[in-house]
Amino acid sequence: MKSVVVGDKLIDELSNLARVGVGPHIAAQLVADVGEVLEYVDRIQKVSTKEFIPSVQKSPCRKDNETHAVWFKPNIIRANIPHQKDGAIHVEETFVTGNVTE
Amino acid sequence: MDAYSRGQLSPEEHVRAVLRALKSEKTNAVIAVREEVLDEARQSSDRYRAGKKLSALDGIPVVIKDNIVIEGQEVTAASNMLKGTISPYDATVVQKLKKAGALVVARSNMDEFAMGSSSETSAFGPVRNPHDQTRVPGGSSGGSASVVAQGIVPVALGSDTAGSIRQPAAFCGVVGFKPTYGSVSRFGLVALASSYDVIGPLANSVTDAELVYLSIKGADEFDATSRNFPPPKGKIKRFGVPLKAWKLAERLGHKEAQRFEQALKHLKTLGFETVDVNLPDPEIAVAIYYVINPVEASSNLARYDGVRYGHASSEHFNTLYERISSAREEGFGTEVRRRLFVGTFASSAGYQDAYYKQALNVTGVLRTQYDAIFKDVDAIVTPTTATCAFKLGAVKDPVEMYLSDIFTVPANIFGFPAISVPTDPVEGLPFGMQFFAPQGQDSQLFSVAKQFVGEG
Repeated sequence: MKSVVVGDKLIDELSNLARVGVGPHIAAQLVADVGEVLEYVDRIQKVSTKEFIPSVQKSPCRKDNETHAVWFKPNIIRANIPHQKDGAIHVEETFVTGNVTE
Repeated sequence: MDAYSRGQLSPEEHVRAVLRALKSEKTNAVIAVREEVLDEARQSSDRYRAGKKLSALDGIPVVIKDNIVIEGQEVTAASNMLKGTISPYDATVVQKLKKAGALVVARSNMDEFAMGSSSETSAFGPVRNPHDQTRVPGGSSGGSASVVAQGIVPVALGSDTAGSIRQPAAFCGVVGFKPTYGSVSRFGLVALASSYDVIGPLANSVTDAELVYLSIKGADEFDATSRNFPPPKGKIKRFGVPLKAWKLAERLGHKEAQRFEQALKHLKTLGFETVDVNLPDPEIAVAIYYVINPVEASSNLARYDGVRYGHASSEHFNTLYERISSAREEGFGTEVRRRLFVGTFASSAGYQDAYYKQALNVTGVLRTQYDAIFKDVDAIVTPTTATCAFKLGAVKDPVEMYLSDIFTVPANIFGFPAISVPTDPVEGLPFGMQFFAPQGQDSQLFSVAKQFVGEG
């Protein structure tokens, strides 16, 4: 995998995702530090895991096109996530209902 | 304590002296002393007078790292984010120590949220090494290591996520024990990386460390990852030494390498066998750690939003997001923010397969290699650190700082118990040896460590 280039844009995105403000005095330092850390941890990409079977795997209970009974539609849990629009917080369903029968 | 039982010293007298020493100590190791402990010390004195001590720990002053909660006390994890937060309950380990009669005298300084290897990232200022105040005490349990090394208290509690008990123990010349993951309850520990965090003792002797460990271990209904381990079988006889695999000759300084060779000879004279083993490169373990730790930290620290708890910004904001972002910007220090960013990145939708899941899979690969090696040897011996304590402010590069845990991280990745014991100093500075073994072999490690340092 190609190394990620860490720049101001990525730091801005991470700042939004992590909900941690980044003042201008620290932004450049974070670009350098996060870039260095990611470059270091990239060495795990070189370790072959082909022979390894993870002990925790994706749940085999439902295949992609399979439907099964649940007690709520999956979108209910993810619906009503507040998001910001034009400077105000909006609440609305943001996810499409999955292929699920009740 | 014999002096208590003989009536030569009362817990109350002892604790008064300890509180005075803690207030005047010079390494910035203490965040706050707990004055109300004097009432508990009086009760302990009464018990000794009546010949009804609760346990061997009755009346023993203990310092608690400030990421372990104590009922009615502030808990800060050395962060501005948590200043002013009062815990409504005792951590399970604190509850057990109190039940045994131990006296919690103070909360110790540390790296912010236990993120660090030098105790320099604290919002209360850096801790200094009692052997040389121009140097770090190690971290993140630097305050606990310092007060034990100064002889103010015989034991302290720390937490170990990558070496945070063992590395400061080595830098300060005391014993530091990281129990098997899950053998000690984490209930009441401010979470850093929940799959690695362990609470353990720092002490001036292996016997004292074991005494504290035995009183805090055990399954706890409030920590689903805690459990009772069956008594281990057999003894440690054969040590693996990753001389070539861990490039010890290259990584250690000349004097440190000499100390390690002396330690190996000492083990042989004690009747242990040592063999070179081909352990996986520890830099891979460090890389795994610095993916998993930030991912778990970014999840664990998401709760500090200045609304439910944590520092709240006093400025006016138009949106909730602005308020939260600002509170977290003001509350968290640089290292915490660095890890939150790395963790958020490594667990984000586009990159979690390449980083987080790959780190988990590589952990599995390495685990099979360790399992194979532990069929041939009973335990591993390494230096605890590659160097002695470094100068305050000397390590600014984050990766260089992370690599100061290079020999201690593997035990956390696989949940192994590990102990650091002091060996002969290097140019006047403490240096430590580390022993680690498969999960559940905690008591065997204590046994080896006692033989190594000549206790009992």
